[in-house]
Amino acid sequence: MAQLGRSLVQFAWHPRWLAFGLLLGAWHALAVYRDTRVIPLPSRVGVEIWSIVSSLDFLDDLGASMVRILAGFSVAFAVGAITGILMGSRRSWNDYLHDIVVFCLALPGLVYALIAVMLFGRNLGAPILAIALTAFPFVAVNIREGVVSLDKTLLEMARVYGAKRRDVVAKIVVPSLLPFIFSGIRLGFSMSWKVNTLVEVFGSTNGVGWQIRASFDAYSVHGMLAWTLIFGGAMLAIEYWILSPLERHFGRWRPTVEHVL
Amino acid sequence: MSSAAADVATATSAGTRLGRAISRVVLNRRWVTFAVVVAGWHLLALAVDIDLFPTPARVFDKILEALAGGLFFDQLADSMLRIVIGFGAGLVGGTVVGLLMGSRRFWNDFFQDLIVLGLSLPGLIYALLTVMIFGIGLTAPVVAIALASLPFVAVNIKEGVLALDKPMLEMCRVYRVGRGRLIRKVVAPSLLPFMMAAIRIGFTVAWKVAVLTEVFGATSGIGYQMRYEFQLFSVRGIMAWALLFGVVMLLIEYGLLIPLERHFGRWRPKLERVI
Repeated sequence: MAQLGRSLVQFAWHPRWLAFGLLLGAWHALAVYRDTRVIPLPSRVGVEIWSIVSSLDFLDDLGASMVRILAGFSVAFAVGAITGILMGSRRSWNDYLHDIVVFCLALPGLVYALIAVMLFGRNLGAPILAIALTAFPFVAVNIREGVVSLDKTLLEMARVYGAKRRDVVAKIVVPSLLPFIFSGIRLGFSMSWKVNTLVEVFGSTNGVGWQIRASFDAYSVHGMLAWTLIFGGAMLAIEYWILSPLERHFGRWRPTVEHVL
Repeated sequence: MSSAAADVATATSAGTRLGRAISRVVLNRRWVTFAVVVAGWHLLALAVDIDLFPTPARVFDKILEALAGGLFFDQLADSMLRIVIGFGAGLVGGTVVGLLMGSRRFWNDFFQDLIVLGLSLPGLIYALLTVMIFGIGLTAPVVAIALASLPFVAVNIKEGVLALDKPMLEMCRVYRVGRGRLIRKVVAPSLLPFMMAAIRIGFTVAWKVAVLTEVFGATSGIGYQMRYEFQLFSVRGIMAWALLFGVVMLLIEYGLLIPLERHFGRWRPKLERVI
């Protein structure tokens, strides 16, 4: 009980609230000072968020965006995994593919979004192409790191003892690749939803990106901020409540770095 | 005589070294990939045969056109000006925040959530918001670039402060080393590699946001040119500008920033060698 009280007090007295308070205060002051039509009051954005969320219509747009993100990211993950495994296991493939991966990492998502929208128009092909091109290098780089850092002596031992290929893959390779796969998924996923928003801004008639675009065209800063915060909140929820716990679950067999050092 | 022989020997060894370096570049496997990609692209373009999807040769024509007229360099200069001013501001702000977060528990708790929020907001939002608030001009891209790159700089600088060698600082205190000397000889050298990493990552973020801001609110710059080509529905134009700009940014990264990072980090033993 006392412990609960202490942790409550700790939570309540955290400096983060001061930071958020100051941020909101500065925002409010700036809005009043400039013009509340150009910079909306924080309370106005809050009301807008509430009106969007309470009508539940936003689930349609969120759903449409999620379908595109999942479709695109599945392709990106498949391509990235194959690329990463090839690059990690063969020196020659690393030489072949290195430049492409670096170049795809370097180009901004905007370029992929514009080209994909022009080539595919409004069908599902546009987000899939744009997301695949943006996210696959992140997956590939991480999986390559994972393959390179596989425990070579362990593999050697498995071979010496005549372990079956399937056992080697299931008991050694996959478990040691999992943390790298997860960091690839997390990075790639965050790139995916950002570029998907861009695709929706330029060529779509629904989805969160389209709502942001519609607010921009209507010159409604509060609408744009509201949709951004809702979408960002949903993505953070996926990150904290789905991806991180999964990562911790699959990584629980390995000692944490702090334990070893 | 012997010195002449030595000269010849060094000359030939330099010659073979040069020869080896050249053959390493020429016989590199990357050219195979390059050829396969260009050939595949060409065949795909021929197979699709729509005006929208250009062959590599036509994109290359467009690149030459942009280079020959000097248009590319004018636009690049406009974009670079925005990137340099904006990223300069982001770098200063990020360094201050990072130093505060690394050295004081309170400031770490204070900024932590804001930094996470800043890292996760897409560049599009910074671009749209600043264009709506500041209109078309220099302010919008500069503010967008500064805000977008700041958290990346701050995170790296904070890591650098945390990685400072604490016993070393302790020892300096015990031996009463002056503050200026401490900063010059201990703090700055160990922060520099993190600073360089911050610059490299922050710069990548900066130019991507710069292009986005130019798409929505500028009348010049690489992003504006892409937007113009998008309105003409010219995939060819967008590809040409994207390839040119991508190559310039890769040159800056691999020709300038990564060597600098390696140079300033050379005093520290490689991680792989230690562990």
